[in-house]
Amino acid sequence: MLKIENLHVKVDGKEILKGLTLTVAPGEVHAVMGPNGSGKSTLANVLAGRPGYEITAGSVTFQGRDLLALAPEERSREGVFLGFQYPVEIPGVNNVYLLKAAVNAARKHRGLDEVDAFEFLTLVREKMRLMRMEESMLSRGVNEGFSGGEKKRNEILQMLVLEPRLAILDETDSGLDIDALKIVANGVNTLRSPERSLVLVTHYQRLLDYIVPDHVHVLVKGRIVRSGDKSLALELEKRGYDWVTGEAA
Amino acid sequence: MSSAALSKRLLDEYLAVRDSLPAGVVSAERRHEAIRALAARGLPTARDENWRYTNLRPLERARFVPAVSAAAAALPEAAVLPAVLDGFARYVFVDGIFAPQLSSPGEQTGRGLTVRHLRDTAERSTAPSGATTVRPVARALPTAVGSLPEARLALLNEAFATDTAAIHVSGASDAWQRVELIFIAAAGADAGASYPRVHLALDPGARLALVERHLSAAGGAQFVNSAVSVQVGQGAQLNHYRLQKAGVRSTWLDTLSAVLSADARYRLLAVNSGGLSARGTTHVQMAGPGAELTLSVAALGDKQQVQDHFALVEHIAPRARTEQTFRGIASGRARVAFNGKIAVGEAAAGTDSRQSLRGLLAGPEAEIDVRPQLEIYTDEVRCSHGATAGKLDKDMLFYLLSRGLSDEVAQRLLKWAFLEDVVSRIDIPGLRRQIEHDLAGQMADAASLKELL
Amino acid sequence: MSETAKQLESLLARRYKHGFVTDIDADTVPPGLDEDVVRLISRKKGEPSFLTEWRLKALRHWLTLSEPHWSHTTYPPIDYQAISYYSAPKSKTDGPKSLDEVDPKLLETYEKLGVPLHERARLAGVAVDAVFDSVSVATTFKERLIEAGVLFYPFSEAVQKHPELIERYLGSVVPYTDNFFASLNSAVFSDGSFVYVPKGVRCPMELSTYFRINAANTGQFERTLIIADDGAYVSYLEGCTAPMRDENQLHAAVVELVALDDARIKYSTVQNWYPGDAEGRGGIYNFVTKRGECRGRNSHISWTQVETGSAITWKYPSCVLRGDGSSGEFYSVATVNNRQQADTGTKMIHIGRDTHSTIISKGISAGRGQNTYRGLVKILPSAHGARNFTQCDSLLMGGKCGAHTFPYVEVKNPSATVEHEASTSKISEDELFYCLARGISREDAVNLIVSGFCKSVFKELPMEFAVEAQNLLAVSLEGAVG
Repeated sequence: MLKIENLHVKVDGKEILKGLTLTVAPGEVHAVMGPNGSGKSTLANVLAGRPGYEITAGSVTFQGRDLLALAPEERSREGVFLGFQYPVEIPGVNNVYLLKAAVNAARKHRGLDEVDAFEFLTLVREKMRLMRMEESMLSRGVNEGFSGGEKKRNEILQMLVLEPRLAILDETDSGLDIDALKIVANGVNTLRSPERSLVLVTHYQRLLDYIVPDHVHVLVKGRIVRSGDKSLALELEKRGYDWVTGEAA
Repeated sequence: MSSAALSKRLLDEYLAVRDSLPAGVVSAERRHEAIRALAARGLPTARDENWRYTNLRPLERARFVPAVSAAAAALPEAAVLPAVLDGFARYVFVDGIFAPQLSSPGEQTGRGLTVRHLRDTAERSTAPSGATTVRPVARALPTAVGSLPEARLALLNEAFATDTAAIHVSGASDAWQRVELIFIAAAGADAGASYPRVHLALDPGARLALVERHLSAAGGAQFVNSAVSVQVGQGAQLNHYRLQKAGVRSTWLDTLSAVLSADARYRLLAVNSGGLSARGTTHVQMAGPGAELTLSVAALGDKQQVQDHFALVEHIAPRARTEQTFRGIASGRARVAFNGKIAVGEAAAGTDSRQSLRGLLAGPEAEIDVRPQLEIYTDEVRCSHGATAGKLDKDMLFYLLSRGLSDEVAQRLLKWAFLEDVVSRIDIPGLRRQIEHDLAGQMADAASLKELL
Repeated sequence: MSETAKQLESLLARRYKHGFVTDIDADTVPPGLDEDVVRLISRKKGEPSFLTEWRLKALRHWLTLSEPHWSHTTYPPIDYQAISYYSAPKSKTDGPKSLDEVDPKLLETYEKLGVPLHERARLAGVAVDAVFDSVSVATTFKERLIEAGVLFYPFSEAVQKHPELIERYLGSVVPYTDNFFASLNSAVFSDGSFVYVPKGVRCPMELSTYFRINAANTGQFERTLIIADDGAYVSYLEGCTAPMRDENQLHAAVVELVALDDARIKYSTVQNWYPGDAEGRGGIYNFVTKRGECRGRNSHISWTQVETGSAITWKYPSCVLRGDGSSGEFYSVATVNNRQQADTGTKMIHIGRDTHSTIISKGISAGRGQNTYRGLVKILPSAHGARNFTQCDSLLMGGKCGAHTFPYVEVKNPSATVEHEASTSKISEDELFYCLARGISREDAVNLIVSGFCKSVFKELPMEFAVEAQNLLAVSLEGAVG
């Protein structure tokens, strides 16, 4: 599904990722953990194609294609989804419009007709119930005036509607209380399937109690220094990041 | 042309037609006084601080005499008129003269609303308009009423005015009166100028929703100089929507002066998209304690257009509030400018003002000029302003791209959203729909935005 | 009227600490201005003919101009023929060879000003050029500068020693046609400072000039020219005082900065000219043209000013960002009290690609003072990727002062981003009360809050200047803040 090899990335002339290698097979859930400043968000943004990141070496293939050669919108249409750490507010563009435009852009890409308006709304309503979102949020501006938790739920709603092949969730758990965390996790879990892969970028182990990963990687100073199963996350929780950063140094 | 020569020509043109100008609209004495004051001061030039972003060249070429004769003969097809808004009485003026056959006044009169056109009345005008005649108010600011140089084009209107739409709402009432005024410029600039003129007076407690449109007969290059005076009585509420869609080769110059009494509420919203050279001047005096003004302006410029707006809000009385919002998009080689000044006098303690002025550059040779100005003479105030000029927000753009929208659609969508900061404040659903359709049309690809409408 | 306001009103008096006159013989030309006066000034200074000619061209141009009145200030007409355009301490005729030869009275003056030349030179490692009335009297620390290759001279000395640099750079940033006061200065400027930092040199110490107007009925027209060659760095400090006099005195200076490739210039001013008395009698008219040109790639110019003095201040230290990747900064604190008027700000002219500018302005108005921020951010079509951020805050103390904000934003390149924010409010009663509740006196509390308000500017000043600026601020608002 996703193959990252020896990825080096600079931001403002400073190397953030220094040779990152990671392979994600279909159906797998990978957690990428690490202390602040380790390069987690850089990884997520580079995969989604955010401008401002300079790739100096390495490659990323997605379903056999060179992902880095694609524009952000093409990546989205190919089935890559980024759940933003800080979703931007866009007053004046309403949520339902964005959802529909996104769905239709992806359908057109696959040679399908535009979605039927009625079916679309039925689908969205169902997913909103799952995410415990008020229907009135649909007619509001994208993330406009949403609380931190509402923004994160809205991200997952978009993911559920777009049904990506690969979802990268960047710190989706940050700023959520325990109830919201469960709702978000539940939403994410409904999407798990043998064809879909998931990369969870997170600082804390907490999220992994609810979305159980197949693999856990620890990112320190731009490199993966340790990989394991979910027990690695628990050990990290117990011993703190000093344990691995000390080893890395 | 030198400014002295221009003043001379202005006088000559005035003298040539003065005897034919209707005394019921503006008395001969007042016309005389207006032309004298204007000639003495001279027409504005680019050297004037608050005219520097205006395209004033059309003034040099203009024929100032009213295009009276052409008006009656060349009435435009009724088809150019927008659909009638529910519940609104419509009055149409062509080249500044009332056109009854295009109007549909409904049953407005007799319920506290009086709408008159003054051309055929022999009486002296009770509808003063223009900078020289706004009722003087006790104040402590350096600009004296009547001497505001930015409002001097109202004198031009006063000298040549051919008709006036005079609207008077009497009596306190929770019910809203609804009026639509449509001004159509039909005659080309070579035949003379069009002088729309409005006087609004709201008695204490009265409520009025007014839609004022400025249109051009198709294809022409008109010269329009409008003047509007507004008095909002104590506790009265006025929602005023001004839509300027003059022809793409036209010159549109406008002066609005308003005085707000205690606890009056004035919502003024302008959408300016027409004209080759457009300039709006808005002067509002917060003369009564607790008055409230919401001034929202959206401007759209493309190709060679120049859209300039100057707004001065003077806080004279205490505890008044002003909120000013500007959103402008300059495409092609257009210049879009907004110059908003809030002045707070010594007696205006408790003033609260906010300004948010934002310009978007959407063309390689476009220009945005924004000037949020504060002039404050007392310390019991809370005033803030923010201004930006630049391109679309890159985080918003990336967000939309990451959801699969094409770059082009994402950009158009964000431009749309940018203008919605102003347009979404229109609380007449039918009108808002019309404007959104218009704007979508002007933004080149209505189809991609149709679902927003 | 609130309790605070009453206290503000009742305590308007304040003292000007630098208001003494030094009694020394001065060589002063009679009042008036014509070509003969200009020739006389030029001759006294033994200038080369190109400079005399330049002055005369400036004078002829000035005669065609009329005084500008667009600023937000009011003052009675200035009689330019009543001003003496040259005044020099007499003992200067032969020129002191070292500090020991400088008239002890002059040195005393600087002691009173808090500029002990010897001490300051040794302890603080600051090289000081002191301009007294119109003439530079002493420059400390010459040897170390010579060693580093830095040229730091009184302007008149630089004209003798490096005429080629003067001819090349003088008027290249502020031409003699620039504006009324700059033209006047170009015709009659008497002295000032000159700095040239050669390629790749980081000036080993802060350079500093203290300006003082001493004689009555004289104008002060100093001229400063600073050139940082490729990769050079210099930090320059300027301080100003004047004695108390009932008449107004004109100070029309010009400062030109040139930064070549990768050069950095930091220019700091603490302006404390005599502001006049509580009724607005006397005080300096501070009409100054300051402009820096980032001529080279990735060059940088930073202006920091603390303006507490002068009856009227009219100055806009500006940056012309011509070199690609160059950047400009303007940090300003301006206070007005009693009848003072300030119309100050900056212009950032973006010409080169990827040019950046930052403007932080803090205005404080008290008494009947009128404080205006006026700033232009102009992005020309060539300035691809240009960025500006402006923050402009005003604090009002008392109901009779004024705070005005007149920004101009003109953008002609669609890839540019310009952001301007401003706020105006009175000093917060909540903050005051919080301090009082912690046992802090009202006066200290106000100083604390004002210092906090200005912090983002003070932190740009070199350390010893920051302390001085803070003290000056407290003095200048004395009485305004009960």
